[in-house]
Amino acid sequence: MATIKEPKDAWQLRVYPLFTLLGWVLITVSIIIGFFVLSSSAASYWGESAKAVRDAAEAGSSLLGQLNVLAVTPRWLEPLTFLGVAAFMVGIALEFSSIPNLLNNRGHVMGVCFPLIVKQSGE
Amino acid sequence: MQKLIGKMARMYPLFILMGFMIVVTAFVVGYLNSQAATAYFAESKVIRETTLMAQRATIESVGLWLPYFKFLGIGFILSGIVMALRVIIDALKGAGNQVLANLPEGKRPALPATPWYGLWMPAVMMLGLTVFIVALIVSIDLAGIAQGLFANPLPVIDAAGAGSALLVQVQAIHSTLAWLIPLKFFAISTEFLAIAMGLSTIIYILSNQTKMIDEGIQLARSLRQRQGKANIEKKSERVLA
Repeated sequence: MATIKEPKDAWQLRVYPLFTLLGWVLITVSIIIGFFVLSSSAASYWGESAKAVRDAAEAGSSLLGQLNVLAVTPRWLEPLTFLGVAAFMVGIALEFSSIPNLLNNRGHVMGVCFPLIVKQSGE
Repeated sequence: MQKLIGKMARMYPLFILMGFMIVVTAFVVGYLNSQAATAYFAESKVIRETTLMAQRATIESVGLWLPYFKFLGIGFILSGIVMALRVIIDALKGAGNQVLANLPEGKRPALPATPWYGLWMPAVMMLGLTVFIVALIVSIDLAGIAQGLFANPLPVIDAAGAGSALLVQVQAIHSTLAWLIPLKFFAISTEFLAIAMGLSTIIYILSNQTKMIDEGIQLARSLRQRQGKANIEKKSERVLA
């Protein structure tokens, strides 16, 4: 008589929530930085001084500090955001990769089930 | 409510088609804008900054709303994928119900309820789509501001002092863009979250249905074994008699 083996524990199903959570955290961090750091720096830099004043800003001034934030932050923030999106995609890929095993197991169970059904209908 | 959502989910090809059409339209608009930019930058700096203000305003404003329009298209496609997952979930549940309908009513095991993430999946998808639409509306507003700003010659914009209307417009564009760019990624991640929730629901249903069949087989086997034993006992009683 054919026996049903317990399906292997899919490691992907244990790992994918971590990737989803990582993606969520990274994208939330990037939106918080956008709202509270970049937006306020941009408002101060672009809105409070004329171009001549901005261009004449000297090293160590607050205007140059704001310009530094506006020029430097997006250079690492954008890759970080993409890392968040990629983490989500890896999570989704892991979920997809666990489905073939589930279907294999289902096929095995159905394979055991059919002879029983045939026997039952024969009786 | 769930039935209504299930019916609406069947419209997923329409969402995917709409999303694709939006992205194609964005490509055409982007190409036309690049042609306008080619004509603009073929002129000398003095002419560009003092007489070709309308062209500059168009180039700048299109550059502001077009990325969010593209992302809305991507949002529609991702929403279509979430809706397709919902159709698969409904089909799996329907198939499970159909199989169980063959059992006598009293012996029919109850199908496991849809997990909370399966129920919340359409709401998360709608949230993502709403954020995409909000981002597009804000970007169209910014494009309007840019139209007004770049209608002025560049030397006039550069000479604007603190507190002037022109500088307020410059400030609005830069400070809004600082949070609008991460917002579109937030919308994308919300759609991805909905897809992850849909896939988790499919995995949950597949695992539970297989487990249920497995339990059914064990039950049938034990019943057959009991029946077999009872038959043997009857036979031995008859022989003894």
